[in-house]
Amino acid sequence: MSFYERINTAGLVTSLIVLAWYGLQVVPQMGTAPVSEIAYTGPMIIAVVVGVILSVITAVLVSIGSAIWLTVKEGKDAVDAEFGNEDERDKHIGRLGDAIGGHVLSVAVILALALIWMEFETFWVANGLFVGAWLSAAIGTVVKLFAYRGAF
Amino acid sequence: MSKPTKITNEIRRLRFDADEMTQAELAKRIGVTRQTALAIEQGRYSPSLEVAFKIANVFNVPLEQVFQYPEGDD
Repeated sequence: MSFYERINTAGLVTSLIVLAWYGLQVVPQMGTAPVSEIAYTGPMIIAVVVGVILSVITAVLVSIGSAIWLTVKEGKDAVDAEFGNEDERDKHIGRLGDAIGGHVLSVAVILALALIWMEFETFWVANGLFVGAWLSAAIGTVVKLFAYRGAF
Repeated sequence: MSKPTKITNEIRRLRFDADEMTQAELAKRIGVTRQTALAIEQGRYSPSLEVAFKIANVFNVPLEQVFQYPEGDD
């Protein structure tokens, strides 16, 4: 597994945890109160901020852990060769994942606009955008991981 | 996932002929990661022209001795 593959995997796991935490804060409130009274703003802000911080921390920890493991297994030269050296295949895969993630985000934005036009509650618009942004990143990452393992 | 290209290569044999050069050594000399060198050798990834020429230069052979494309296919 390459350096960028590890980083992408760690990022995907982290974002899944953050989304699950957000879901646990908000979903239990649904059905017990009107959506206009559901307290989602705080958890959403926390999820976004913590998600960004956690993804950075995870990337650093994965990098350090991988460097230590590679040093023990194959020596310092292997670390110098593998780390931070984004080659042309990494760039191709990155662009592919980002492009597909971008398409998903575009669809999410259009759906959110449609919710606004149909005068849905702010709750649905905000959560539609939140989940759409998460799906965009997650699908982009999954595409990258498949590309690393498959035809790239 | 299927192979994205009909291009084949002789990298495995060329490495063998070059005193069993490791994939790590080849990767280092052409400036890519070992995973990319492996993907190229297995035909899962078609490298840029620049990397293809670098591979040929490493083995000191013409490009067509490293990569082949079936004639008559488009």
